[in-house]
Amino acid sequence: MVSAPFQVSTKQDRDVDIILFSGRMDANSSPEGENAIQSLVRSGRTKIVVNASGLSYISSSGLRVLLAGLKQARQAGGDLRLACLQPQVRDVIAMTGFNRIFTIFEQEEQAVGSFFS
Amino acid sequence: MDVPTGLLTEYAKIIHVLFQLVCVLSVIAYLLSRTPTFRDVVAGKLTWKHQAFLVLVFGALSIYGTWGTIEIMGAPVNVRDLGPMVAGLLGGPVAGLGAGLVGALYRSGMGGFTVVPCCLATVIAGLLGGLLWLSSGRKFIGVGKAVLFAGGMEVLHNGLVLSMAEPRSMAESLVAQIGIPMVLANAGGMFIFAFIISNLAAEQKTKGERDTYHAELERKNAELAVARQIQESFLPESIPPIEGFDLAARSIPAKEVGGDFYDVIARGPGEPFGLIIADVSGKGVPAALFMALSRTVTRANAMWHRSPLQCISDANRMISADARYGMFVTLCYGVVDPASRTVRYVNAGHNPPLLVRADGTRSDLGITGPALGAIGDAEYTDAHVTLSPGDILVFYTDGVTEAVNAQDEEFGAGRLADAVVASRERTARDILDAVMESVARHARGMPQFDDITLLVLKVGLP
Repeated sequence: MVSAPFQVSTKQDRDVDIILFSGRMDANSSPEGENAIQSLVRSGRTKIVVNASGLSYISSSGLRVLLAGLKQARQAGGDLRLACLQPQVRDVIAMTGFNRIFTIFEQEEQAVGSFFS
Repeated sequence: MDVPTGLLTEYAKIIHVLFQLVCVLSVIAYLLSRTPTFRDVVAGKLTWKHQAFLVLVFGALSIYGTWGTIEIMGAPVNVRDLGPMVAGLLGGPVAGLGAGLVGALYRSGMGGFTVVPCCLATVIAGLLGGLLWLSSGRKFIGVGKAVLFAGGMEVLHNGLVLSMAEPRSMAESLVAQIGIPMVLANAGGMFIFAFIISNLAAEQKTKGERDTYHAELERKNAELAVARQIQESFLPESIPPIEGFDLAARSIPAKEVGGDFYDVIARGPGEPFGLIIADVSGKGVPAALFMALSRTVTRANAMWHRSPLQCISDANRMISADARYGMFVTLCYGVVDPASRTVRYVNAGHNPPLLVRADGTRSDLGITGPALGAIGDAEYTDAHVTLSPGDILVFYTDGVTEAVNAQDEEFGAGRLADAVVASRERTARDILDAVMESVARHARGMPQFDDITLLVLKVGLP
């Protein structure tokens, strides 16, 4: 398990916002990810794709941040969808049963495209 | 050649004497800064006792400044005004005036043709210092302004001598000789005092802030200790004995308060009993608060419903209604029927409990629905396993399996099962201890990152 530092970057595709998480998302680093999601939701941008291709680890604190974003986005008529899950993240999401709550895609393009279909 | 040599010697003497003066003033200022009364004054305390202290100390300094006079070119340079100025700047008009009067009284006994303007200047020095203290809001005015004030005061002192002393020609030649040295000596002396005073004030402020911070920290720690006790009281005080089964449980929070909990719902001899293990998302106080909510809601529903499925579905609806900020809790609830030895369970997104059969084969109780609080209308199902004598069911939280060693390697479900299989002939308590020891051995030297909770059920031999 390589302990890469947690990093966040964002980009846009039409009116969908894509947040890229990488590294380890644990109790210490989650607030940074939370800020990224919250600043979108607060400004009314609620079509969100989280690209987790670089995310090697997620703890329950990280899952809480994703779930909070999902709830708020759906309440505002949008959604938060996941793409490119790595094995540990996929396992944790499956174990907590969150794969029944989140819409998950293999590729970022599919996740973005799902907002237009 | 004679004249320049004489001048050089004279300057060397002046520097030597001024240096001595600086040393004496520094020592006085330092010693003063160590006295509790002076510290009180710098901190802003000013009772009549403090003012009397200032009058006495700085009056004495004024006297020293008079007889500790430096002869320059045969003329006396004094720092008599310094004491009253400092007393005024620190303690206001009363302290300044008092110290000034002490100095002036002493000076008046010496006589001489400048006696009136010199006495007057010393009194004015104290009074002006006090007025400056008042004008800056009853505070010391700062190093720069204090030094400017001292220099300006000595210009005024010389002006008084020029305008009042007779004969006029003597006054003029005296001021020409000692005017500038007096300005410099008093300004220099003031710098020493002002510097030490402002250092002392800064030091006291830092200390005050540190003390406040420490007091705050102590209070928070005390609150956390109480929170921990309250939280511990949520866990069963003792595991009720259940005929035909052997049960042991332990929870070790990583911080003062944790997000894990376990529960045993006993209804009476021969009746089905419930086992709960849970892990709240996140850490610290938010997790602890959410744990309290989840534990209460789940327990109330477990007492009410016989069916674990109905219990968990209802508990989820209630917890979801209160779950802001994405908080959730993974939880596994199993109801054991002692007669049939079946366990009917709902696993809401929790680490699958481990089932080790008497013969050492392993399996687990996989999830049957998402974590509680995630979504209010989540669909749950239940499942069941039937136990045989000697079988062991281990409920655990991810603090067990995710405990890492120095190589960042997780303990994992494999090592957990190994530890249980190896100790499966022993009692539930011994099995629990064996797992805890195995985790501790694995994570040797590494801090505990997450709460560790274990609940071990062993089916007794008939």
